Amino acid sequence: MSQEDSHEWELSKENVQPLRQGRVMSSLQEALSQQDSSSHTALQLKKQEFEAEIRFYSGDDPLDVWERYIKWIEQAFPGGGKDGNLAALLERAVQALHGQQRYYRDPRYLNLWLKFGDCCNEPLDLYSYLWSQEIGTALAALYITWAEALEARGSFRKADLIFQQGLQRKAEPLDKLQAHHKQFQARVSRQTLLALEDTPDGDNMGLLEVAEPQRISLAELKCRGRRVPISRVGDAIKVMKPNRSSQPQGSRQLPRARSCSVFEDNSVSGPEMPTLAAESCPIPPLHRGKENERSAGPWNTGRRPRRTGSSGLAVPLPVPSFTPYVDEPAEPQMICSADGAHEKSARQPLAVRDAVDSLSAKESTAAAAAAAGACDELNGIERLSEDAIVTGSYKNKSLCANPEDTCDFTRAAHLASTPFHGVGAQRLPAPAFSQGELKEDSPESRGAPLNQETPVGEEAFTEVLSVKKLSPIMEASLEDTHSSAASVSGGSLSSVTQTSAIKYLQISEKLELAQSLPAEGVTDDDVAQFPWSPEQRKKLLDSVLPSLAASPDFHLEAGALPHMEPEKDVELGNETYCIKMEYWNDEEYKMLFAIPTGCILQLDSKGFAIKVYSQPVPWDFYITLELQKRLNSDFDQSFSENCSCYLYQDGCAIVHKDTNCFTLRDILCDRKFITKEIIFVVVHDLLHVVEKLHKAEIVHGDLRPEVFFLGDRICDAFSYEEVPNALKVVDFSHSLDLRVLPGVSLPYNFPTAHTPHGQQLLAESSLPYQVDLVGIADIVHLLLFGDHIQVYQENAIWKISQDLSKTPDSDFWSKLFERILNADGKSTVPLLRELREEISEMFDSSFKEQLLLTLVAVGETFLLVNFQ
Amino acid sequence: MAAQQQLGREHQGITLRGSAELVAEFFSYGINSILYQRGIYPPETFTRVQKYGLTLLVTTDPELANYLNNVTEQMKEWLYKCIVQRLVVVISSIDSSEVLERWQFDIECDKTAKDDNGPREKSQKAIQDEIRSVIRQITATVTFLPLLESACAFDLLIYTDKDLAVPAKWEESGPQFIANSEEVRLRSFTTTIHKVNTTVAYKKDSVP
Repeated sequence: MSQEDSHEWELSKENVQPLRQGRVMSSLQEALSQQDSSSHTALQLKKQEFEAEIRFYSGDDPLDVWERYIKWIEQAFPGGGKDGNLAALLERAVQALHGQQRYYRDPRYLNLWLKFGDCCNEPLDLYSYLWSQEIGTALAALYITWAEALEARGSFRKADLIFQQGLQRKAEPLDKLQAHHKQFQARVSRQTLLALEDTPDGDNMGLLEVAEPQRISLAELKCRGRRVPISRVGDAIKVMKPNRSSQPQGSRQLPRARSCSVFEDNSVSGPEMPTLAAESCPIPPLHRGKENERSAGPWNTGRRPRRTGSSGLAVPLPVPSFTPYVDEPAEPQMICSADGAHEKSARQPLAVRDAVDSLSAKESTAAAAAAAGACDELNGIERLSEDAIVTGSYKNKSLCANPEDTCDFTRAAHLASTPFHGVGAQRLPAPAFSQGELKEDSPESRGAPLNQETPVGEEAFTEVLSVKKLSPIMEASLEDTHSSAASVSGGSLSSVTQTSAIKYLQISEKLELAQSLPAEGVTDDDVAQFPWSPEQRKKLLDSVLPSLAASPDFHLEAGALPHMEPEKDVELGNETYCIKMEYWNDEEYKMLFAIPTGCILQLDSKGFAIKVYSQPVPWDFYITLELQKRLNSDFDQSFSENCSCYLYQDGCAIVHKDTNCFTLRDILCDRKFITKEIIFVVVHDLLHVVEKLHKAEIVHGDLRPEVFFLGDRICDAFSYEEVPNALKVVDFSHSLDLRVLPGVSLPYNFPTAHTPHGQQLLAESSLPYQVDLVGIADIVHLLLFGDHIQVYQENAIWKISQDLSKTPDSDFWSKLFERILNADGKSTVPLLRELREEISEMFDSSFKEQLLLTLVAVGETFLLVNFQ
Repeated sequence: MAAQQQLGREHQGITLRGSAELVAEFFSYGINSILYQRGIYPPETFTRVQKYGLTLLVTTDPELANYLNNVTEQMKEWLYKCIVQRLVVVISSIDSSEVLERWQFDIECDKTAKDDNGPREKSQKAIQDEIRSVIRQITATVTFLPLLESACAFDLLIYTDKDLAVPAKWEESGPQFIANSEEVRLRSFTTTIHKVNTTVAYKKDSVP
């Protein structure tokens, strides 16, 4: 390699596309040297060779040819683009191999898809397509690429979700996936830390520090006359940060959708993973999302004018354009966290402008302005609007004071397809309405005077307008920073408090993201007499509220909890449910079963379990989220994998999707359902569920047959799942989170502890976990004998009064009772595991057959009996 | 380029000490550039400085800066003594500790410069122009280098004359070659006392 020509690559570096796997220098040199000379023929020949090989290939691995072909194209056409026509080739390749199931787990095939995704404008659709088709879902590369794409768009939460899915699927190579996930988490938490280190006011930041993470403007903006230049066009507005791509085109694509569902993004984007399969399109999104591309056709067939706007028909619309795009700006807090320090300085001018906006808007509504006089109130207003900008979601804000106004607006915006002006008019009466709804005895509502509520509602409206003002120019050039600094000082004094408020919210949100949300808000005094009194729980939940609110399944609703009773319809969120039955109902808790309105209740169909709590404390939701977080892959069908929480002013409703309508009680009501096999399956899962709960340091405290919904293993004897769960627990009314409240030893406050046997068995000193063992013992007793457990003590050993000797497998059951009743002071998790493993050893093939038979036999009568 | 070198003859010459300083400085900026370009450290921990008529990125991480300073000082001393032969920046994956990239700076020392004290006839500007084109090439290597997908760490290896006592905080090490590598030679520059040849080696297209 001579010194002279060996540096050709440097001269044409702009014309060489970087490749993930790097380039071979020799072929790069060759390709570059051939560019000018007309010796394209060699390339063409080679290309034809490949084409011929593809066409006449008769071996059993056509993917191999494609792979070699594409690799060669990549190396031989360093410029990408039309020459090699890589995108078209990749499209051909995936199309040619489409439907070949044997390649679905082949990394080479996935690799083709992912390369094709790189050519697409909107690869996210492609990834969800792959996911739905199970292409490469066993491979880590899919999840890594997908999460990267999401991360680049600022959707850290979704990216994390994707990683979680991959980990759950044990995608190979798992260590690579784990490493990437770890790095992802490190990046997120590092940014959190960076943001934490930031001082809220930018005063003591030197100019250099302010300027450093920002892109330096390439050219000074020219002043014309006395006007300050603000517009910058072309490439200059693109932000250099790799993990933040502001995509003006993307948001322009669906201007209309955006204008009417601006606040719904969070809830829309939320349960993405679970619904993916449902939405799966059978056709691959093969189009590259390229617009205005018309395939060549004959010229002589004159085209008749069709209907107006038929031009769209000529171009076959790509499939992805039908899937709802998730509006990325919906997560502006993520964007904030993406680039710590400098983003804030860019934000400040926005905040100031916004304050001005809100002031003017307030003046326009004379009534509100008249009511609002005090200076501190002004602070309150601005802070709210600031929060809104930064967190981007109103619902998430807080439990207190006046969330209903903003939510009302959300709803109004949702219903109305009119632009914002119309919405603004519609929502004027809203504050008055919500005032009327407020309960007299609610302490919060009494604390918040009327005049504070009204302007806040107004604020929400102004805020919407200002959201629209967020222009795509997110860059903060040096000039911009200067001018903004001036306006901050000239603006309002409250700007400092504003920023600190944002800071607080941001931090809590982000900490949650980094999965390190400490439950430190709880001090020892919180370990009070009644850990599940609403006040205590509320206090406890307040410290973790941001993390709850950050969940896409959390919905803060306006007004009062709707009344729910059987055979009535109820609207929760955007869904209307028809309530079919009530499992239990005490003063505070209600458990209902519902199906979507308009559906007919089928005997074996699944529906929604709705848990209603008359206090605005989403405790069950919190526990479910915690379980999910703590158990990771162990969090399965035994718990509610798909629940959403609707928090109202005076209560909350938690909807658990995909729940069978039967509980363990339904089995117990007739002895003929209870066969030996069913008992074992149920007890096995009972032990397993409690084991998991205890592993997550959560005590259920109220194990009764009613709280266990039957899982697919019993309700759907022909379930596809290999080992479906027999039980599902969704109710955690009396549960205790021992990780947050360690050192509790008050089993007497658990409902189980109030039962006769509970009072006998549980001493003052017992560990809280003990309570659930008593619950288990009782349920097992109910299954075996049909009545509650009765115990007596003999030689300091607790025994049951019933005679076990006549029961089949009496050895095992007596051992189970002996160990469970006398487990005081021992760790429960290993005990439960041992017992469970002992049962699962009995599960052999003949057992399974027998179980299936009984299930089928029992199933029919079971359904009939319960549905008469 | 060659013609430019000749044109750069001006009255200020270069001494051994000056040469050592220039070369050590080149290493400092070169390593910083590599660390930035290859994403070994997060981009926001770098700040821009003007050097060699280019905008270069230099770390702001105090520990890293301190480390690089120490290395540069050590290099300066060794360059002055003309006992260093090679500096290698090894980039390896943190997880698998596999070497992924290897930047090798071969140093040819003109040992006669130790004896004659007179300055050599090559202006600082000419030398800096040459250095600039090397740094430019380092920046341009993204056109062919593979993407570093996993988190990476870097290591500095310095090849010295055999009889050198290993200073404190340094240890002896193997060459850390890359198996099955592609090697690309970059431009070189010379101060007439020290000549630096730069090569980068990277893993050949692995089967995905």
